Amino acid sequence: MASLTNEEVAHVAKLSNLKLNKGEIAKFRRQLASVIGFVKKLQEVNTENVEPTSQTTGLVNVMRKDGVCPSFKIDDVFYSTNQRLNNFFVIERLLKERGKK
Amino acid sequence: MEVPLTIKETQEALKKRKINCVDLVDYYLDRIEKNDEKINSVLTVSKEKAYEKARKNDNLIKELGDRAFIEFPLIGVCVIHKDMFLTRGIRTTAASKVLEDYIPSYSATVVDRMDKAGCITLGKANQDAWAHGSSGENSDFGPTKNPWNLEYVPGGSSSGSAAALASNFCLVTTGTDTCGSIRLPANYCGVCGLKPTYGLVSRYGVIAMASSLDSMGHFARNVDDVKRILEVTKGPDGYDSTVSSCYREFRVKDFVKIGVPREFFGEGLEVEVRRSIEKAIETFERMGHQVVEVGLPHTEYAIAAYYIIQPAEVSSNLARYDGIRYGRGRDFFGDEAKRRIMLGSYVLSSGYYDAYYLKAMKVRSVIIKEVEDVFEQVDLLIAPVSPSLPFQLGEKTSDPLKMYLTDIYAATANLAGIPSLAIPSGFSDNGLPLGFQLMGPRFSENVIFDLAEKYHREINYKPSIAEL
Repeated sequence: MASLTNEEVAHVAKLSNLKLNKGEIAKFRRQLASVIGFVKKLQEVNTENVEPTSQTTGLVNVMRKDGVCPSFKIDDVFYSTNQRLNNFFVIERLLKERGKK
Repeated sequence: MEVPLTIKETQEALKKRKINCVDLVDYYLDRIEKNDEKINSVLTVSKEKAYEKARKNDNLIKELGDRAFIEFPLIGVCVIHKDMFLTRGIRTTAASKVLEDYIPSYSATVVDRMDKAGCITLGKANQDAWAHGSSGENSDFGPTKNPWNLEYVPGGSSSGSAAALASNFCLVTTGTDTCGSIRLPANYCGVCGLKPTYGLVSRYGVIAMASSLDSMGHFARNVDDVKRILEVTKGPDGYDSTVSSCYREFRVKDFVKIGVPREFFGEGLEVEVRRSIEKAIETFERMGHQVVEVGLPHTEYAIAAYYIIQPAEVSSNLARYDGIRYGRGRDFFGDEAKRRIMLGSYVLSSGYYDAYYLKAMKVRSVIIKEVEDVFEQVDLLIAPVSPSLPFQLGEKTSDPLKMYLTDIYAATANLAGIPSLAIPSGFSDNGLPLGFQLMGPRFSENVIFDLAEKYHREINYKPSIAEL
């Protein structure tokens, strides 16, 4: 089993935009460590001079004609939210005024 | 009233006016209402829309007669879609509390094409939340039970799709297969399940799990039905640029050369599963096909590569769920989604990218090369779908890694993007379904279908449904 610290779990949780409590951190630390320990076995495979594969279709730069075509109606786009104001989505404030915490 | 179990028989009954589409909807919805409490395979029933479509179909049949069955090749086919497929106006949850109240404003290409071909949507099937799981137990709306024995899992992640079909709640179902999520439940519930070639069926409008692996497929009770659905769902739609119409059609031969990859029959394969496949191999030989042993030595690394690539893609795909434009916030993710998102963030994070993600993508290349080489020697491969028969509910839930290893034989097809069909072959001593998978080179679906149909004819296979 690979070792993983509580701090590392808290760090990946932050990267993942997930909020975890202490109990969850301890639980996930054990579970993630066991999976990471398992996938480490890939180090046994010789991949010298092997190119990575990110997809299997072999297609490169698929192009289509750039043209006007029908899209969603405004009301369809906002169908599933109550965070609507004048055809914009209302989101939490990201930037804060200078000096304010 | 009894309803036919295949598309062909259903449409013959409709043609002869022995039955109409409204009768079919009556039958299935009644059966769901009476029995699904035990199985928990259906999350949403779209009753009104189903009857509306059934009446429309009945009118078409009245007006057009037999021509209706040519113009609408799936007319009268009642379908339940996996809840990963967006269905316009019908709640779509991915079996997650995050999307509990989400009603899409458009339909997935697969759904849309099946609709236009005459299908009647009855509702949406339960599944492991976000398609993360191998048993159906990860649903935020409770686990699905195996209709053949309620103490056992139906397999996942398309758990409800397979269980609903085995329960005769509909005629066909759809599913997604990222690492066995169609083939495993098909195998555990005794139905046929197709994972098509990556790039044959559009992923548009299907909730993304791991985009380089996700394949849109379906379940049916025999190979003929599987073929009929694929005829409708396959091909470019202009919305998924990985879907190609330029590929080499394979020539169907009378006799094929079938490879038995020895790494799929090693330690850890349950005796009864092994014996059943050996029996199938004997059948193929008796039918005149040539069977040879082949090697895929890197098979043991496939699931490890998968558990890096998939979480990496999951962490990116699930980043869009922010609770603003639709759905609820990220606190509503269940444990399995959280595990995979974090695992993905970890293998992609600075300092670990090369050691994990890049390495896994290279191992993927090694596995693909090996698979391509094997298909220089043989036409198709036969392999078990899972190392074991269906397992009991709760047996693997406390150990995520143990659950992940259920899919050890599924990963190869997804990593290499090749098609694989899981078909039933019979039942175990204690009445649980048995079967195997047939894999072929990319876009060799017709060769797989041909052999699978011949096999079912040879063993005189008849579709059966579980007694509820």
